[in-house]
Amino acid sequence: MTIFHFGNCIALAYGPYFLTYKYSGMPEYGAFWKCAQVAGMYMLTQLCKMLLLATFFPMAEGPPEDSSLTTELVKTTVDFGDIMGLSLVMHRIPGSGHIKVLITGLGWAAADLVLTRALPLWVGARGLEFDWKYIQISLDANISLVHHLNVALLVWLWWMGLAAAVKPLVASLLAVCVYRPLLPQILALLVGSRPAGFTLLAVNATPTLCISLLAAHVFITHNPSRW
Amino acid sequence: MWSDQDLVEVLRNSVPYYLVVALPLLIMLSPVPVVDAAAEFTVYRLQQYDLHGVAHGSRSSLVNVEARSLEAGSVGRRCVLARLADLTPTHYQRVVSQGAVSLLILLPANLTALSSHHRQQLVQDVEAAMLEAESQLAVYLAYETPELLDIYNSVRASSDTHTASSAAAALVSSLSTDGYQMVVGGSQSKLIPDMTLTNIQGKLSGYGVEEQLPTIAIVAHYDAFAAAPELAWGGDSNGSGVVVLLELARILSRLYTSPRTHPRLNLAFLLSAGGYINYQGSKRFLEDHLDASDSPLLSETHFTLCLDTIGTGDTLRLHVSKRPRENSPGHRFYQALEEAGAQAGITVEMVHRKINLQEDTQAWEHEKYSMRRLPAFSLSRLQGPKTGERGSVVDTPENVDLAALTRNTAVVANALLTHIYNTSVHDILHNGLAVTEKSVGSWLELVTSQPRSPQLLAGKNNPLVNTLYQILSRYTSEARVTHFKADKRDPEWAFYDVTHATMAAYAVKPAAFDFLLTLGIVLYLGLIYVFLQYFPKLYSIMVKLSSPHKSKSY
Repeated sequence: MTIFHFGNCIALAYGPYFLTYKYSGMPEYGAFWKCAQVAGMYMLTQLCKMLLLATFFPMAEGPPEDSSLTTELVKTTVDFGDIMGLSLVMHRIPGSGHIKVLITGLGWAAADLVLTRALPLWVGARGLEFDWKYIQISLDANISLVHHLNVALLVWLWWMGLAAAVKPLVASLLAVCVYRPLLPQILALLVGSRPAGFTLLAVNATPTLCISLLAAHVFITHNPSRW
Repeated sequence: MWSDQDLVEVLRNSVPYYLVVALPLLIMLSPVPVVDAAAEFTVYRLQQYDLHGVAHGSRSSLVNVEARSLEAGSVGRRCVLARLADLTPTHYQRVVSQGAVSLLILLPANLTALSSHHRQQLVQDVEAAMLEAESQLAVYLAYETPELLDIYNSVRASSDTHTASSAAAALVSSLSTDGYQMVVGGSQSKLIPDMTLTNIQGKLSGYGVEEQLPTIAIVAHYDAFAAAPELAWGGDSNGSGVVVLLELARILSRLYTSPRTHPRLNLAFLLSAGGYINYQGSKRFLEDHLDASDSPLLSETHFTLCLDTIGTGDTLRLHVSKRPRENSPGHRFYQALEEAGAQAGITVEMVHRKINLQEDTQAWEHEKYSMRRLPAFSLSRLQGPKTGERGSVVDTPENVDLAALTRNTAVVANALLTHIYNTSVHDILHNGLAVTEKSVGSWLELVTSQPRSPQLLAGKNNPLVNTLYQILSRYTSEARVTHFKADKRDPEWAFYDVTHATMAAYAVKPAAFDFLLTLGIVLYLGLIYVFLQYFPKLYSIMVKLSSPHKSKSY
């Protein structure tokens, strides 16, 4: 299972990032260094979020499933810091519409991948024992790529200045994006059991795809000329 | 500040070199991750020892192979999982001859529940087959736990699919079923250097000048034996013998302290070590007291009574190598024993078996004494020395019938006192001198508190040995321990370490599964590539779809 399986998981996780970078026209814009800047901003944002969480939310005892929905809700609200960080960095990235979104989204997602998922894969996938969870981690990395691209697009749309009719839509889409981690818990309350494994992946993937379609639609109807 | 292009150029040039050097280095230097295995459990290894130059038992201890069940066709270079109930000597021979690396035997949690005598006999046969000669198989025994049984069942199920219906089904199942990799780490087993065995002896001196009085010696070997050293509880064999010796010591020390009942002969007690490796303790005891001329202990003995396995049953057999002459002390003792046995309702027989001087191992302990021309006999419930009931894993403390052991102890005590005082002694054994089930039970619990295979009792500070020494020093005078080792140049015995280990079972998928996964991932990446290539087209389609809306709203 060892190194070969680790290689498999890394290919599954990093492949789409690499392909997106190469084939969506970014190298022509010299985007590598900017992506690195975005990654740096990501690390800063995470640090501030962690400080906030540690200060205001003491360590919860008991298994994570037991913590009430409201506590989790408040905790996830801190993720709005992500949005602020994204906005900050997007202003500093030069470039027109779609390339700006791509650079920011990809850089953010790549930093997220390296900092949260590389270590579990390194430690776990190289072991003798086979577990489906490593493939699931890699697929989750793919989903989070689309998710971060979504968020970047929505943030850019927000700051672009939209007609008053569309602003609430974009705001609600952003809120759904931020609260997406709560979905498994909400489902657990509704259905009774917490989704796990591949079901969890499906639960994460569906809203992401829907949001991407909606966001793309908004983008098209309001800024086609900026392509 | 570098421009973007320069940075990319630098990376493109240098990254390959870094990778070529750094990646293999990183992989080599990174430690093997200690990941949770599907199951980790304690396993006990088979005995590994040499006796008189002949090697016995399992010679290796490392395992890192896949698991197969006993019914699988070929088990070469695999670890065979088998339940104790399914294992027979034939199966064992087949496993050895097919070149398996390891054998893991699953023991039922309650060994004494092997009620049928036939099943017990099978277990003893398997043990004998495993210990008879040496093999390179790493044999381990483990108690069945629910997770271990799960693993066993799934391994068995996957072996069955090798005879599946169609080739396609077999292919699919072989690619997707979980295999298990059994791993025992640590080091290879090696010889225990300078292993010491310990004799514990005590003496009660008779009334008068000690050197001129005759002696009666009572001997019991306190070690045990089994297929796995850590499972050698030795309840009946020879826990019962030790219990009887300790009770006799207690009773006789009472009688010796009171001047009215102080008899005119010496009594020597010996708890000998190495009983199962050809009675090395008795051999050393004899050398010390016969060859070294300054010890008067064995200069004139009435007889030596060896106790071995008297914990159950209704019969006691006195095994002799030369029938005692009429009116000899031995004969008188035998008559006393018959009488006491008849009163308690058990049969007493004498079994005569000549010593075969061609063999280098002795069957009973008394043969060591008989060879030195001392009158001796062994008292046992067993018919013969090699019935397999001595030295088996099934001989747990629950195997001993406490009521029978108490009764047998009383019989032996009665017979001994009759012989010593030359009268019938029905009513001496009451109150403080009586043999009670409670005291017998507590002696037995003490003796069987740890497994007693010789290598586990080695060393100069074993707690059980110390406890026995303290008990004997309480009841007898001049109690002492004697440590001895095997001869340096031509050792009679040698034991090897690694008696227990932790085995980890990892759930693994077959190697082909990895390739399948790679194929899937390549397809997936190909799909994404295609999607990205056609993205502009997709985008324009979406624009066209939304433009009717746009033209309408504007």
